[in-house]
Amino acid sequence: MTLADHWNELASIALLGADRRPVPAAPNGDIAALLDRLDRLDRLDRPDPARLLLVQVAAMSAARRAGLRPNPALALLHPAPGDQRPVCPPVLNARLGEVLTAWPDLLEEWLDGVDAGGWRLTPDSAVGLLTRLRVNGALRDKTIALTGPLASWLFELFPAQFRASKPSKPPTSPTSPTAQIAPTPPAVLTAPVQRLVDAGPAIPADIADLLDIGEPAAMAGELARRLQTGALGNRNRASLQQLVRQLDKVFLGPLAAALERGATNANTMGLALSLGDLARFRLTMIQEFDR
Amino acid sequence: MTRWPVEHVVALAPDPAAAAAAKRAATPASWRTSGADDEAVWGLYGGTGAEPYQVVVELQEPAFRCSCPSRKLPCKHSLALMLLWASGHVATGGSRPAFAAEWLSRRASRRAAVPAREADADPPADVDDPVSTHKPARAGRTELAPLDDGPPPSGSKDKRAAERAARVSAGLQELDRWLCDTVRGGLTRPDLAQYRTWDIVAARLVDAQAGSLANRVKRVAGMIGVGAGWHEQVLSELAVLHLISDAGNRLDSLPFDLADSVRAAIGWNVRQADVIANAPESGRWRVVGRSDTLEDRIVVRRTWLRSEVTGRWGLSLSFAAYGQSLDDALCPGFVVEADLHRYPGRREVRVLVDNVVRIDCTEDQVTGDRVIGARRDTPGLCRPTTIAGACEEIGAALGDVPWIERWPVEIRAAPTVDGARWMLTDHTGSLPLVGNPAALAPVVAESGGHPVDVMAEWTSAGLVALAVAVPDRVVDVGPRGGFEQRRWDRR
Repeated sequence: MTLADHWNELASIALLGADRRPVPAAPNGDIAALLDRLDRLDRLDRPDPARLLLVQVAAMSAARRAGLRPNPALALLHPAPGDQRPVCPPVLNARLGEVLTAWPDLLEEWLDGVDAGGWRLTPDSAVGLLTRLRVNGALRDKTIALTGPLASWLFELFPAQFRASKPSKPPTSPTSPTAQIAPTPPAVLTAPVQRLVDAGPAIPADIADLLDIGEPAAMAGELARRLQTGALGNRNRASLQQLVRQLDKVFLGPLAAALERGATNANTMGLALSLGDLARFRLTMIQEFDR
Repeated sequence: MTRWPVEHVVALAPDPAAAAAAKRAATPASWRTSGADDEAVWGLYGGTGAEPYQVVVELQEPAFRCSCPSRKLPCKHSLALMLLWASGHVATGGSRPAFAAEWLSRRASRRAAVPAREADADPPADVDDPVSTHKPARAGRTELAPLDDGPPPSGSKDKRAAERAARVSAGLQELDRWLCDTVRGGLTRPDLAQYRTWDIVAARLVDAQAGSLANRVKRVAGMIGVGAGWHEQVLSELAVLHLISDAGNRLDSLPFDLADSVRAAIGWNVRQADVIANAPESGRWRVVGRSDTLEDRIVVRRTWLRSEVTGRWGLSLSFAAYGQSLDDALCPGFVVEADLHRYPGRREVRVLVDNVVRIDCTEDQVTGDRVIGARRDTPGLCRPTTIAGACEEIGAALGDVPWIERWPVEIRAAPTVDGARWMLTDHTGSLPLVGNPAALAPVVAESGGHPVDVMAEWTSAGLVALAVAVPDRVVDVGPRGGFEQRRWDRR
């Protein structure tokens, strides 16, 4: 009987119960010698079958683990197709983590920034986003495009992991990663405040008039004043956040400063500080892309 | 009194590390003054503090007093002084300094105040001393005393230690009986498929103050019926539990370091102060991987470090209640200079990280009052090996300590698929990877199908990938205790 046979026999006995089948002696060799020593240590004059089984399994388990050997070498996977685009720089990659944690609504702008810079996503970011964005068609398509040919390679290997909840566009070629994505509006300021970047909920009239104030400090001061007086409040939170997400970068710094400085109304202080944080966060992100 | 042989002094050391540290401190230049008479040896050790440590050893008992903060008894300074004395480097015949005379006279007066019989059996604690006197710790440890070796095993403390030893011993015997009953009845017994069965056994082990064994029993419960060969896995684990419980009842006969490992496997706690008192391993360490696991509503973070010079491993553990944030000071990819104090035990990897000093860094992290310096300009792992090399490292560790549940390895290999199973492979062979697709996909994506440097933990089920090194960084892919989304928080 080989050691492997002996191990199988012990495993079978353990399934059935040590009282139902006798525990065989280990085949001659190192294990048998070890068990002999253990028997002497344990003074197993009247060996209990269950204890005998545990002792034998302990010795064999220790030997099997200590004698760990690799399985046969395997063929490598068909490698992922190459992508000529440089990988997204670490600072932007780190920003992605903060976007997803703090301001996930800025993800689309972040993806657009990566696209505009001509980068591709790092593989771990791609995996994280593709896992996260299984239900969002537009963002998922952008992610697939920025992942490049690695995306289809991963889909093949992990079909369940990355299965989309609704039909998605196939990965585009690495040479035109954004061919099927609507172009981002130019960064040039076409109006005092750049209007909507893409389709989104309309900004109510009592907020939209802020967009007509062309001077950043004045606009920031007016928004802070309305929050301070209670003219705007938590009921306007979603609209105000959308406003900050659409503002040109020249407005973001003054707005953050004004909101942080003027946040003294107990009812709107939290909202003002939150909007200030969004403005500062977005400004930092844009500046990182500009570098 | 006749000078002792050096071996006699070394035998007083509570552990090998203390003996080694004492030998380093046993140089006459380290001692500002020293002296001896027939009853005692004393000296002033010039340590790193502003004031020298005051060390006195009463030879008759022997009893030790040192003003250092170590909780070990005897501490390395007391041992070092004794080593100097034993080797003839302490002058005899001088007058006792005040600190020695005062302590020795207090002891003498106490001895006179209590009946001789009681004094022999249970020397009184010296309540005024920061470190009380007592018999050498080694004597206490043979009775399954905790590793902490700390305060004197006198009076109520002695009693408590004995009570705990008895509780642990009874718990181990009860566990062994249950293990025998379990294999006697067979692993297909319906009650084994219920967590409650295992929880009861674990609860009894907790009552017996064998917490580590209790956790291990709970982990076995999760293996029942999982996978085709579950019964072999469960059987192996039951046998390992038997091995530990059996070893726990014969600690006296085990080698010193192995006995420490058995104590750790059972759940005897070691005081941090004792670990810190051990000689540190100082140098540059790379943080090469980490994992978070949820154990009993406590998230346990395991952070693996590896010495750039020696290749030795260090495992830093941190804990947080569910929902609380974990220590984020050591991120994979960081290189730090630090002192690592190793817990006692054979092949012990657990360490306390201390004195993390700032080096050329691009990112600072502040944790409590410590400033962690880290840099990212030298990414990568320390010394990745082949699959066969990793098997040798794992086998050597398991040969020394068969109940190890995980062992770190750095491997340069490519992920591939064998049937439905993910494997790491190179020209020397392959090893299985374990983990759900969410955990494996980043490893596969980073590799692109090519060999890549992976830091992984070996477990009996396979390798758990914790980090992947790519040209400009180390990507943390370790388990997050089921909270994968939190990975984004730590990038």
